[in-house]
Amino acid sequence: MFKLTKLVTANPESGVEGRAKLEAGLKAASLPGGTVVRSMLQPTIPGVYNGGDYIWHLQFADEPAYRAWQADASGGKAAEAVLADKAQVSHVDSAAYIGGKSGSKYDLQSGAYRTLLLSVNRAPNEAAIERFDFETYEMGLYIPTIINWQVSRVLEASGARKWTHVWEQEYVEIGGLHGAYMMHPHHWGYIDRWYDPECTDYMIDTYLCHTFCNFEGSMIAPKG
Amino acid sequence: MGDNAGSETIYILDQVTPKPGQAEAFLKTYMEKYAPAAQARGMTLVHRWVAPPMWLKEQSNSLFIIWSVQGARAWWQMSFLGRRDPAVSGFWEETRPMIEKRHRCFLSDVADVESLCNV
Repeated sequence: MFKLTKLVTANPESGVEGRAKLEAGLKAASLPGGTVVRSMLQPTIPGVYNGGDYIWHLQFADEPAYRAWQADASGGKAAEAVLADKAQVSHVDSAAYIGGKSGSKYDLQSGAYRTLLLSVNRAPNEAAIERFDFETYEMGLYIPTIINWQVSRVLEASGARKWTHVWEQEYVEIGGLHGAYMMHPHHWGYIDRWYDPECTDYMIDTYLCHTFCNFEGSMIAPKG
Repeated sequence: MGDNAGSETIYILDQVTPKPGQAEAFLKTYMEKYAPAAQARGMTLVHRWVAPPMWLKEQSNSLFIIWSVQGARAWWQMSFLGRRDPAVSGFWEETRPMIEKRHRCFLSDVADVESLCNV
C-alpha cells in the first residue's frame, strides 16, 4: 500500500464557510473509485502539537497508482490547487510513503487515529535507523492500547521539516494514547532516547508533528 | 494502571568517563552547572559514584551519577522541561571536550517492573 498523509492547517481567517469549502475540495480529490482505495479527512482533536486542523490521509494500491492520482486533474492536481490557496490554507506538512512494518491485534472499526511525523537528521549510520524502525514497531507489541500500528519511511516530504518517518497508531479511544502509550516504560525508558538531546543516541529533530483524530474504518489494518 | 502507578522510583544514570585526569574537574562542573537545574526539574540526586575510588591523574575514572524521580509522569515532566531549556544541551556541548565517553539510561528496581508495565 502506498500512503499520503497531509496535516492541513486552515487559514484562521477563512471561517466556517472557508472550512466547508476546504473540506469539500479535499473530499472531492479523494473520491474512491479512481486510484484512491482508502481515505480519511478528519478534524484533529484538541491537544495536538504541530498537528494541523485536519488529517488528510489517502491510500493507493502502489506507487504508480499514486503517481497517476498526482497527475489527475480531478485528483492530485485539484488537491494541489486547494492546498496552495492561502485564503483557505495556511500550512501543510506532507509525507508520501510506502506502508512499512505493521501490526494488528484485532479488527477495530472506529476509535482514535494518531500519527507522528518525525525527521531523523543526525543518525550516525543506517544501522541506527534500522534499530529505531524496529523499536518503534515493537511499541505495538508491548503497549496494550495500541491496536493497529505501522512505522514507515518517507519517500517525499514537505512542510516544516524534511520528514523521514511516519509512525501511525490506532486506539479504541484517545485515552489509550495519552495514558498507556505515554506511561509505558518502552516509551520513556527505552525508545525516547532517540528523541532526547541529553542521550547519546539522540538523532531525531525535536520539532515533531504529533496529531490525532477520530476515525471510522481503519487506515492501518489490512484492507478487507 | 496498577495500584502502585506513579509511586515507583525511576533512576536516571549518567555514566561518564571523563578524559584522563579530568574526572574531578568534570564532576565539579556538573555539580555547579548541571545539578541545580536538574533539581529544579524535580530530579533528586541519589548517588555520585566513582571507579576506581580515587582520582586518577594519568588515566580515566568512571563516574556514575544517579538521580531519581517518582513515577513516569515525573519522568516526562523532568524530560519536557530539560528539552525546553537550552542550558541543558548547552552544558553537554560545553563539557564535550572533557568527556571521553558517556551514556545515559533509565532504570528501576526489578520489583517495580510489573507495576511500571501495568499501564
